[in-house]
Amino acid sequence: MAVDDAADALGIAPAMGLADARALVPGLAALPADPAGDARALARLADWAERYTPSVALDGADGLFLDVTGCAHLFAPGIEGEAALLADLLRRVRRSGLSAHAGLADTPGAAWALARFAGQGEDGVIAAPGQAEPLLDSLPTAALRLAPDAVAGMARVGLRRIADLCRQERQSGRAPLAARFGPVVWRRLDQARGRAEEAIAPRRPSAPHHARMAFAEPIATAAGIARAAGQLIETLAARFAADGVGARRIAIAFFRVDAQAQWLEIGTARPSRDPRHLFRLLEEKLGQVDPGFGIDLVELSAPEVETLAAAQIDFPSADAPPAHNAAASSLAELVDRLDNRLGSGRVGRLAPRESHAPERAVQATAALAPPAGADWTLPPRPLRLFPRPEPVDVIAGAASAPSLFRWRAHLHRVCTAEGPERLAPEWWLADAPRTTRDYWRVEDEAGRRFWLFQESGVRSQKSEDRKNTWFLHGEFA
Amino acid sequence: MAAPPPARILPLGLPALDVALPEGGLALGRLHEVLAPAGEAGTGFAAALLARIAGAQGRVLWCGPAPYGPGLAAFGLDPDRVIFARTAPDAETLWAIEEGLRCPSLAAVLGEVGVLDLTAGRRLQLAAERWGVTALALRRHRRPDHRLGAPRLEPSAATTRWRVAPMPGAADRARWNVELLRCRGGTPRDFVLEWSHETGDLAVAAAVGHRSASPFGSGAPQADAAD
Repeated sequence: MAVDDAADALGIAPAMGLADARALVPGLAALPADPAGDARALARLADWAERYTPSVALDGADGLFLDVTGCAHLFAPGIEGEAALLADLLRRVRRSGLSAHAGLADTPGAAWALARFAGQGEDGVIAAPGQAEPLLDSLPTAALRLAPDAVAGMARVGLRRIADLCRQERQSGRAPLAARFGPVVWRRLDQARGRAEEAIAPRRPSAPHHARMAFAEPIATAAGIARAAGQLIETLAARFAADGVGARRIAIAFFRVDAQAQWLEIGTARPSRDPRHLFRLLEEKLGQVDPGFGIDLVELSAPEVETLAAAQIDFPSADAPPAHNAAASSLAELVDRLDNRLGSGRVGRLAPRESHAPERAVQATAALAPPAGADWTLPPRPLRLFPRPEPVDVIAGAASAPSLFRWRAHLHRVCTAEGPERLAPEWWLADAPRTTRDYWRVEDEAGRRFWLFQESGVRSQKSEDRKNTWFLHGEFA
Repeated sequence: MAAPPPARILPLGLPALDVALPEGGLALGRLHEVLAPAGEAGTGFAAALLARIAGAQGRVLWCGPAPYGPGLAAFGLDPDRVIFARTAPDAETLWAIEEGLRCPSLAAVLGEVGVLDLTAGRRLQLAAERWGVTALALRRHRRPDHRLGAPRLEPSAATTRWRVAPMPGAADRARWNVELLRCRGGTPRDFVLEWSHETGDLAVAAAVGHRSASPFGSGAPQADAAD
């Protein structure tokens, strides 16, 4: 059970039963808990929190860790930066209708303790560098992220505050408590005091190349969004050039004033740092951005880059006609544009694969992979192969050659039939057909040429009664 | 709009067809339309055209449902040089064709569309002229059952429009009825083409619908083009 600020003011506590709470406040509104919805909301908040630092981790069902090392100076110089960052964060989160507590300290453990047990104030609690321990001393042992039964057990022997634990350590060492409640007690204390390492696990790997643009006046128009994206791409492209790299993946994040964030991502087949090309890829997707009440921060990052020498960039040819917004594109740019619009797996080349089964004899390769120089020579194969063989009714004549077949309610009289070409099953492959197929090339009276096969060989018990053993698998030109 | 640059001409190596086309061959950097009312004869004809346009080095983009690689290879079009974009529906295919036409590194773009209206055709024709990439619009009948009607013959912005249908063939050869329905500066004519899987050769078996058509087989003079 959770309660909001208004309920809190009326004396309702999260530990109360619903009946007790109703007795206290007769008109109480109660909603069923929605853990999945809460988790989604927390994830959205975590996305948005990346406006402060790329390193954001989820903490249980109701908390976030932000590693703001090196980020606070963006808000104010020196030590005041941290206070400004924390105040800004709390103000924005609260403006979006959430209630929040915050703590900022040298270690995740201390920040956790301060946020949950001392951070109820308007501006959160900040422990200046090296100053966390005095603040921690007065907090209950529960602030060490310990299990409730360990906390209760320690309370029974008089250890209620973190200061009590420190005294216990000085007087009788660590062994007695470790034996009773496990070594976790001391590990948590060490982590909070910065004597043991603790790393948070960011939700996204951080990108070394990023650029951001903040807006005092939030932007909400498509033109404004496109302009911001264009300028950020220019900035990042200049940095790519300085580092001799090109982007394989670019992510752009739009942080909204209502504590929501939206992400878009584009990929390239070859590293690129051509701002015009990267912008065109991104432009296709900018329409998906919902600015809501406004966007006040845009951040562009390149999670994946590859080295790109200056010579590898193909410049637009000098004789291309200028002054037209549709510029010529290189092959790599074309593939990127198709890929980003159509989605993965829909753009590529075909390569032969060693297999008897016609449907397995072709595989997809990357559009720009070097030519395989593959050998395609096979017995005659149709120009179109159906995604799956279609059952047909066949009347077979001499030597079981088909003489008449019905496909999709139409009769086709076979004038010539060549075959059979026997293709054996590849029983050692999981996804290959299990039966032997006898393929026939037939031509009907209209001159259409089809590829039919008759199935024979192993069949399961269940399909024993199935009459249909003929299939149409493709059509020749 | 400035007049488009004069087209480069590619002789198809099929004398009867080449003399029917103005300047003795297919205009490159233009839009050509191939109607395939039934079967895959039109796809085969388009693949043969693509192979000739691409030559030994050129790359092509094929938009729409991808054909079967081994079958395509038999038309002399090395699948290594074909990039497939599996697009659907028509709007997406038209977008992909136009994107492809803007890429002068390509020799040609083929797109399979159901309908190509005058506006869409003009867009493709302009893009093809501008970047010098040849566009082939393959209008294959979507339903395998050919009785449900051929594509409607709406006005076209294409430089040539062909209709290709299967014909009962001779033994090991595929036989197509090829109609040149429309051709700027040329004369509409009908042909019978034969295609051999073994050799990959395309040959004119008969030129019908035009009295003075050159005799079939090789060696027909190309010099005096029609009209």
